Amino acid sequence: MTKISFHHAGGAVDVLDVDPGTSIMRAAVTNGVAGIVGECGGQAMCATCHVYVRPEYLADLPAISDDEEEMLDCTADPRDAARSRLGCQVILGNGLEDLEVDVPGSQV
Amino acid sequence: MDNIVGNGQAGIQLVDSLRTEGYTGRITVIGEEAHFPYQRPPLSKDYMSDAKTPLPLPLRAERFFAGNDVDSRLGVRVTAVDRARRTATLDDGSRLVYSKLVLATGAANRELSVPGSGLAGIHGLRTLSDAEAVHARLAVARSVVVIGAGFIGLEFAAAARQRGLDVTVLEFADRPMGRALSPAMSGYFAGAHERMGVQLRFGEGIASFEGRDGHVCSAVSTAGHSYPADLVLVGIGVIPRTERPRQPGCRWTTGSSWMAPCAPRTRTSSPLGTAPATPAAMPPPAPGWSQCRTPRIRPAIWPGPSWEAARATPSCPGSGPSRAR
Repeated sequence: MTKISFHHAGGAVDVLDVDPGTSIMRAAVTNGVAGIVGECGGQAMCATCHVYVRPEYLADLPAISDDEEEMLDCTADPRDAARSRLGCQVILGNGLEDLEVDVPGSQV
Repeated sequence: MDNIVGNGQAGIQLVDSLRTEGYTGRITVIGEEAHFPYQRPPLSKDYMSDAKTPLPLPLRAERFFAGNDVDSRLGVRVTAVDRARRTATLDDGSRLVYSKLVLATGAANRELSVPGSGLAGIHGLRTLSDAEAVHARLAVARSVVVIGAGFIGLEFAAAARQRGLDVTVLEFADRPMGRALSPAMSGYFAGAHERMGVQLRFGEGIASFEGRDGHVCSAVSTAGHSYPADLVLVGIGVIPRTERPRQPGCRWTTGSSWMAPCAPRTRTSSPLGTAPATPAAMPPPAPGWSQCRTPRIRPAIWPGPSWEAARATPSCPGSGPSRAR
């Protein structure tokens, strides 16, 4: 199992154990984590699963694809040059066994 | 007690909006599919890849239904509505009493009626069950014919082509996705598909299918060409499922809701209540749009029903306006 922590504004944290191969978005949507929508179903087409990855994990992330790069310019809350990712494009496991992200205030 | 018939995008968005806006009454959701509500858009994309069988993505987590006190009746259909007594009868024999009944029955795939349409190997793609059947078939298919170059047809064509299959798309019109896109955008997507090896045949509809031992083996176009096919995907649009409200005094108005200033939200004319049927009309692209500038549009994609449902809540007791999430 891999561990992911969703930090919300105000300090609440959702900590989930999920199977390797699960995306950040799927982990959140399947478990009802507030603030992660995943409206397009994980196709990098809507930017409603935007997260801010905590700095200590940035080196472990996969590269940003052209599609994700384009959608990251359409996030409801401002894009952070270093930390913003689409949750559907980051798959847990395979070296990314532990991850912490901050949930934006809005997605739509 | 409220009942909502249909647990797709519109039905579940309505539940979400009602609870978000403070509605505290009981809510029952009736869905004919046995699964908890799931997202349909990935079914024509990720689902068709040859990686491991993907899992459906829920529309809401299961705890959403428990946490919001939603009574989900899954795998059952409504067979009758008695408006005088305010009851809905289900096909398992049970009967529910409602104070408000919301019909969110969505759409059904338009079906072909050409000769051979009943052969095995000819599939539609709408539900999780459809997707599982097509996914299984893709593993053994060699030649794919897609009927219709709309969103579903082209997404499926691309997915099948990525798996190395021969793919031919028959489209009656002269360009792909002509209902939704400009000619320039149609040309862009036609080029993208042709570059990956998808054969696009415009100006050719489907005339008939030929079979062998009950299974489809070729598709014959209206131009008289025959294309080998051991898997056919039919993507020729949807028909709103409005069968239930076709009762005296009840009329669907979905699809024109944002055109007329006097009818700002989707409603039936019946005291049954609001009717966020999918595929619903989009909200206006800009204030002031009206029917005289834009013909009725009904893009059969997910944002419409969600927005319609969110806009439908103010007429339900104990709730205010909401927005789709």
